[in-house]
Amino acid sequence: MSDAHLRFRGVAAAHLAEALPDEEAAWMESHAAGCAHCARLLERVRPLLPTLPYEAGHAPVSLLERWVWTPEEMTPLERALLEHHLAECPLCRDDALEMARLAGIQRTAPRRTAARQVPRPAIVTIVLREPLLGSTSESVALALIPVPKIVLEFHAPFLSLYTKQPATRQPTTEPLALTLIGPDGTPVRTGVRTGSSPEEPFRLPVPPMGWAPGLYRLEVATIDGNRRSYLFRLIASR
Amino acid sequence: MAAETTPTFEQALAQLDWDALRAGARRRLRARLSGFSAQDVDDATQDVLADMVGFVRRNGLPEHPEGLLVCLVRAVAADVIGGRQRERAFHCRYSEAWLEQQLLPADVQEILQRYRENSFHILEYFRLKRAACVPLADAKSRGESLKDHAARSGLSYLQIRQAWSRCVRLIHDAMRSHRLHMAWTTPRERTGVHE
Repeated sequence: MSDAHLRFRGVAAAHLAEALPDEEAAWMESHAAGCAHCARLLERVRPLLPTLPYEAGHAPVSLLERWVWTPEEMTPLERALLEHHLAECPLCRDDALEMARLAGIQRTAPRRTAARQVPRPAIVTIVLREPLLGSTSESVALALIPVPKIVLEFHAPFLSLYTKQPATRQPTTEPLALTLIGPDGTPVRTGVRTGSSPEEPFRLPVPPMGWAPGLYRLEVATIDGNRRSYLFRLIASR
Repeated sequence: MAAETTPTFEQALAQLDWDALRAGARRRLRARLSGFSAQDVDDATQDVLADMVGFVRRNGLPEHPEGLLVCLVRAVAADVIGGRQRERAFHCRYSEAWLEQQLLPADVQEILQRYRENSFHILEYFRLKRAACVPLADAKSRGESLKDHAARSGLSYLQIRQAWSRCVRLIHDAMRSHRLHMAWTTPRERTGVHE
């Protein structure tokens, strides 16, 4: 077989994948135009490509065989690409391990580590206990989750400031001024909430860069100066 | 020294550990066919083993039985899932098509295998290095041409072609530095095929 035919056969797959540089693709077209055998070879493979979808996106078995039998023949990058896929795709990983088991060869395949999991948005509901009578603030252990788009949701009952008559213990219906003080001591959010509506939680808009971990203080004040503050800490998860 | 002889069909079958293959097929099918009944998995296991016998009859003993097993498991599982999703009349039998492909000339099989490997490397490379190229690489791994992809996605062919051209330049860089072996390799010489 001539060098030209060997060259054609060697790059035919890349040509079908349209992954050749322009000059190489042009050479392929020109060779196929003058060589019926090579043109026919290409035309025999092309209609088979639509049979690929059922295993598209998965590691070809030929590569898994190489990983089981002759991993030393793979370049470091090729091996890294395959092992990255095996870490992400449990079907392929278990296929590879099953093949190794049947071949009697000891192989271990990496799994995706927890650290690489993508954080998902979440809502944190903060339920603050009423401070003890006579005190003005209370530390409340909070939680969690490091997500950039975390939504802070304050459950309503704590926002109900009680009237000054402890005997009746009726929640106030007056407007409430709310100020959230950030870890650096500056107000992050201010707002007014009219009356008390225990069923409806109070949600703060998410800052553009998300919530930073640290110690926050939510101050709630009625128009007549009755005031309470609540401390809570946002903790970044690990 | 005795001359090496090709085993007969019965001898070839006897050389395979059918219990291990059956257990392996069932495990892999169970993983793929979650939501199907145990009976479905058993039937599919039987189909895989029957296809394996068919392969040995037509092609002889496989070099790597475990690789053949996984190929057939994937195809049969796709058949089972496809059979549930589509009208049977329009149902493509992947396992049948796969077995047919094993009878094609070696050069055709070689190009098809290399296409699978190239597409996989390209897709995984972009998953790691350039997420924007992943949809196009994914289309290529499904055997779709850029023209087909452009028509399906409603974009112009020129636009798609330029985007793909930028993507494959990254692949060429990796190949030039010998980190990826994907094409431009000389295939094995085959005698009597093409002079």
